[in-house]
This record gives sequence, C-alpha cells and structure tokens, in this order.
Amino acid sequence: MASSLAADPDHRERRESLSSHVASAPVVQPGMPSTPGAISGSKPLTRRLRQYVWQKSGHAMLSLDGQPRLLLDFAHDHGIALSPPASPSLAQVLGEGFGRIVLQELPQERFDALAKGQFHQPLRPILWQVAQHGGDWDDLGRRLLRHARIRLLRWPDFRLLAHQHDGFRLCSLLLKKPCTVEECRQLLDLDANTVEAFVRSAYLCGYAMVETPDGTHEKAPAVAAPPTGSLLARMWRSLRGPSA
Amino acid sequence: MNAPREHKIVVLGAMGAGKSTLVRALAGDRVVDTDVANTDTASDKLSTTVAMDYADIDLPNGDRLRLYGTPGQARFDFIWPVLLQGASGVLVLADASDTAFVDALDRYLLALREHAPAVPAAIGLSKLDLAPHADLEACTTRAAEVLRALPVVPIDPRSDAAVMMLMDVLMSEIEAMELVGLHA
Repeated sequence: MASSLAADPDHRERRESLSSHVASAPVVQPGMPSTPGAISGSKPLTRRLRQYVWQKSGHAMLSLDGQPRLLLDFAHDHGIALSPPASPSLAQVLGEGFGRIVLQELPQERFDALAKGQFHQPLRPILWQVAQHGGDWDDLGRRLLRHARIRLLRWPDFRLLAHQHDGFRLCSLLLKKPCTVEECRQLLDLDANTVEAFVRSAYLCGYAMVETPDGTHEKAPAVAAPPTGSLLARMWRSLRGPSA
Repeated sequence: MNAPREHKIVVLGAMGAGKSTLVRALAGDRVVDTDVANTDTASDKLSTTVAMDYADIDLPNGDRLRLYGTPGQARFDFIWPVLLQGASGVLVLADASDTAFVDALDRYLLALREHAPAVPAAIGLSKLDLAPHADLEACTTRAAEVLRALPVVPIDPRSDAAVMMLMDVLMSEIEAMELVGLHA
C-alpha cells in the first residue's frame, strides 16, 4: 500500500499516450495563447494541475477569457482569488469555462508580487469545487464513456468531501474495487452526474487514476447484479433521513 | 417474517479520546455507562469507563444496532477480542492532542489485524482544536501500513453532526465491503 501511495498517479495510469510522459513540457494547442509556459485545453491543463498538486511545488495563475482569476501556490496548498465575482462563484466560473482556462506558470518573485496582501485559501478545496461544475472535460469524459475504470488511490481530505454521503460511499467502493461510472451508478444506486462530478474532482486533485480498458471497441463490463448493498447501511441511512 | 437481527459496532480508542461521549451522542439517553472517578495518574480525566459503555438503537426494520464502547486502559485489553467477535464495524478514536497519537494507534490496528482483519473500520481523530497541526496524513499512512487504507475523519465527539458523519463513513465502509464481497 505504501508504494502505491508514493507513485505519481499520472505515471501509474495505464495505456496513456506517450505524450503523457513528457507532460512537464508546456503544452500549447493551436489557437491557444502562445505565451511561454502557458497551458490550455482541458487535457493538458488537468494533467499539469495533477502534477503540480502531486509534486507540491511551483506557482501558477489561471486566466479565463484573458482575465486573471486565480493564483496557485502548490507548495503551501494555497489559492488566491483575483477579482472574485460575487455570483456565480469563482469555482463555477472556472468549472464551466474549464476548457478555455489558460494556466501560466509563474516564477516565485512574480507570484509573490501578485499575491502580496491578498487573501489565501486552501487550494485543494477550490480545485475540488471547480471540478464539481462540469464544463469542457472532453478527454476524461470520453474515457469514462469508453468504460474506463476509476481507481481511488487514497481517502481524500474530509474538508473536500464535507458532509457529502455519496462521496463517502464512492470513496469506500473505489478504494476497494476500481469501477466504471456505470458500475458505481448501479452498485450504489446513484445518478451518473453525481458519480462523474466526484470522479472529475478526485481525478483533478490527484486522488484518483483512470484505467482505460484494452482494445479499440471496448464493451461495457457485464452488468452487476442489482444492488443488494448492506442491509445495515440502508437501515442506517433510512434512520438518518435524506441528509445521509 | 425474518427475526430481527443485531448489528454490533465496537468503539476502541485511547483513554480520553471521547469514546463514551461518542456513544452518548449516538444513542441519546439509551446508554448504560460504567464511569467512575479516575484514579489513573496517566490521565487527568475526572471520571473514566471501567467496564464498557453500551447503547442500542432501534433500526426501522426492527433490527437493533448495538454500540459497545471499550475502556481505554491497557489492563482491559483482554475484553477486545470478545467484543470484536461478530462485530459489523469498528470505530477507532485517536486523541490528536497526544503527541504520540500515531504510534498509539498501533495497539488498536494490531488488535484489529489479529482479531477482526476483515471487519470494516474507520478512525476518528478527536481534539484537533488542541492540536490543529496534527498530521492526518501520518495517521492515514500508518493505518495503511498496519491494516489497510482506512478513512481518517476529524471529529469532535461532542458534536452530534460530527458523530453522525463518522458513522456515515463507517456505514459506507460496511456497504463497500459487502458489495465487493458480493461482486468479486
């Protein structure tokens, strides 16, 4: 177990393209800003953010449609909102515009100058919330549709999960058995949106990896038996009421 | 109609970690406790549990959830294997204000490994208000090394909501263990 916790989740993902192994290089897609060190597009952005979070080092800034929105300090796990909109929330704005975000890596001095006097917040909860708002997650969405299995690497911080009981249930299941979205949905009797939002957040924050099945015409895994679950857990939820 | 079943939840943990408080928070006034004045110089608690805390909760289908809070003193360790036999789940409470709380967890994790290795479990980490920089990651890592990946939940046993959340997490573990067993 200890060795699996130590491995970089990106390096553990199976059957990823060769390009994923040179992800530390800046990626600039056609039509995207060509600023040195700028990264855009949901796949390169997700990959780079996961690496930063895992390495716990580096500084960056997220901009959306040319407007700076968030400073990121990965060493201290801090995020600093820049001109936060009152409504909708920053997380919603960034989540829904995820495919248009540009990540600019920043040297320490530049970050310090921009962050001076600003309010610092825990970074991971911000990233978790950004991913709860499904915007453009083309690559991950396609892989999940092709019956990729989600493997959880460790329990997320409970500040992230808050009191979301569905999140607890998904964590418990995915730590013991990698499952597709459909399997999660059926085994836990959850809707697909709830499962996908959890997967996006757990993946972006580096708690989960996605295993794409072999073959070009992946078939859906055999449908599991109807959920029987645990009588005790069901009775407990019934006792607790809808909040559980 | 099936006869009502009984489901046992065992609460382990260090002296003063909040086991009795947790059992009371879950069961309200349906608690039998055996607290007496504390004479153990290793702890500054005014009173402590000398046998066990016991409470039961009626479930909607007529089943009963039985909660057993074990005494924290080492001299009562002999009771653990008896209580763990047939348990549906285990809560381990750790006191974050104890600077050696990660090492202190070993007693309980090793007991689980020996007497109840497959029983679903969750760790509650209490008194974080007295130790805001306690290393939760170290706790998670130790559990994975000694037993398996367990959820480590920050908890204030005096808070009903926090206690309910810890039970929700344990129930998720119970559910997942059964699902994985059924569909393996």
